[in-house]
Amino acid sequence: MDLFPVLLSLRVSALATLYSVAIGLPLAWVFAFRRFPGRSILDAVITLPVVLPPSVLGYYLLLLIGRRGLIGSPLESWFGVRLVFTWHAAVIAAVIAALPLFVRSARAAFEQVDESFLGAARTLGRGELVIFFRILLPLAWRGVLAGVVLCWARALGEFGATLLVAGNIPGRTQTMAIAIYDAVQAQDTARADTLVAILTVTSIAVILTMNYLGRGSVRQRQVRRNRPVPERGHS
Amino acid sequence: MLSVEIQHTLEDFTLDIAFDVGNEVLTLFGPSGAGKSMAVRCIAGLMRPDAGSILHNGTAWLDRAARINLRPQARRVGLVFQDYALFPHLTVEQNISFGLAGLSSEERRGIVSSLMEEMHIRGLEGRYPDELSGGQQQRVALARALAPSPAVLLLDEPFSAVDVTVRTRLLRLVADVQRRRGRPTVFITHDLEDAFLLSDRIAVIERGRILRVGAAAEVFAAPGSHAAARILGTRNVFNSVVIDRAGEGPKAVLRLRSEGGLELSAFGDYALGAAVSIAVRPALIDIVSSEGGVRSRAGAVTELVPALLTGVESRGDRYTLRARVANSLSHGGEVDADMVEVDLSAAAFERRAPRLGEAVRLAIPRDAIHLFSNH
Repeated sequence: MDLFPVLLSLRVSALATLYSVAIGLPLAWVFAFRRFPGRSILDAVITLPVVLPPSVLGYYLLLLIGRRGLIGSPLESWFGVRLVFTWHAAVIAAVIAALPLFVRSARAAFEQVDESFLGAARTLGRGELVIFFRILLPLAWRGVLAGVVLCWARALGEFGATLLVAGNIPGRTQTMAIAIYDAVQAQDTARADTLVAILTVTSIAVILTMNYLGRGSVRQRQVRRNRPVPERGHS
Repeated sequence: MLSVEIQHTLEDFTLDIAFDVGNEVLTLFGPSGAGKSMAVRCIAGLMRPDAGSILHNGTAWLDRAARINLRPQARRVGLVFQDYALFPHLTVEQNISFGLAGLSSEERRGIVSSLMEEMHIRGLEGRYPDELSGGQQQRVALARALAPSPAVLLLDEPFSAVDVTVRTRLLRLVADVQRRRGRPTVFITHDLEDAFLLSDRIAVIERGRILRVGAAAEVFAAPGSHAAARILGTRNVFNSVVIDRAGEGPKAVLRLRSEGGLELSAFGDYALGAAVSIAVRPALIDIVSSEGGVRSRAGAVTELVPALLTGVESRGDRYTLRARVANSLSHGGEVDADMVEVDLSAAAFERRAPRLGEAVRLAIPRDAIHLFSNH
């Protein structure tokens, strides 16, 4: 059996997750703690891929990175780089589709961290970057990790947009999800069954991991329980 | 010296306060929702008020008019939260040294270990906050706040979650720290005893406003208004009218009669017929038998008010007696006679051996009677 789609899917989803976390962590922090003009518009733009039909998303991506696209055309004429119908395009499609899921999870996790921890850290004179890595992230790691898993699962299963921008080129851009489509078209049931089994098992593992992470850290729970009832009203 | 002057408006609430804190403990005392925590968060820089200024030794931490608003990091404030806010994922040692940036690890260790010594928490270095008792968490929070040598210390109801004995020890600890390294300290509490134990001065706050500020003992003796008296839990406040007046100025002797029949003389500067409140602290009143002579303190004029003992309650180390003032006005039953509370120490109680229903006279030193005008 040809393992290429499995390996490509792993590579694409891993890279897409890496980029999503790198872009998503600052975004999640900004959304959780900062108020600025245009905040809700930015939020909507980032979340749009969750509700947009994948083919529509793929079409927009073609307009952007296609050979005559907004970014694709100068990229090709100046640097000779072509993105469409390469596995790089699959990574881009996966990032766009999976990023909002990570940002939502991480943002919710950040918002759940008790503000007094951050306030205490600030009065102790430490900068925001130190507070982010030494206080915020360790206290929110479960939610952030849940976001990573969700993001990876979404990237792994990305189909519609990927098909449009990366195509279905066996041995070059054919990911697992697309290979299933291809196998069904070719009535290669054995191949489809294998790939479907791999993705199903992976998805179940993802669900179990999410449930485990959602149970919350024991230490954090105890700290919350020990806490006295805060002063009512304006304090 | 910390000078605070802030205004902030929420939907149904306005904070509008101004106070100075020298090298002393100023207590913000008031009920829940009075705006005490909000004031402290403004000082720490965790919240930006609508208007006002906060100056530390002449340096503006906040000046809304001049668009100055220092970040909390730049204010050098030590803040102890009501819920401690110890970092749950860091050990005691890591918590305390969190604010010690830019020092060598040796210097850090030195500061941490001397603070732990001072707070009597040696040996807990490697523990996590959830492995500590409430009192220990409190000490760690205090050590963490003190580690960077803050210019100002803010204590936001830090003792509300620990029991009385632990609390008293912690208060003494804070008082010790303050005595050794005095710095402007703002202490929030709604507990009278805490306030008395730690404060140099007290500001009584209600619904965002300071009703009265002054030396602790002075504020307790003379709350100055009905609202402040209510918040301070002052007992023995009676509405009265000036029915006679002799002399001039603040040392004029006034004769006052309350609605409930209490009649006595006191010093004060109010016009004839003025509505004045009488406040007398229960601990300053003594009882003498109705036949016995007056045993007043040397040089002090003592008012003697006939009354009937109607209640005795033990409060552990002291007793509270309730005495109904004997008077002619309320005989018809139209107005309830004033009930005066008297606090006696256990020893004084044993000596006097008062009986319920006994006719006594309340001995009230004239200079213990505090008057304020009625609104």
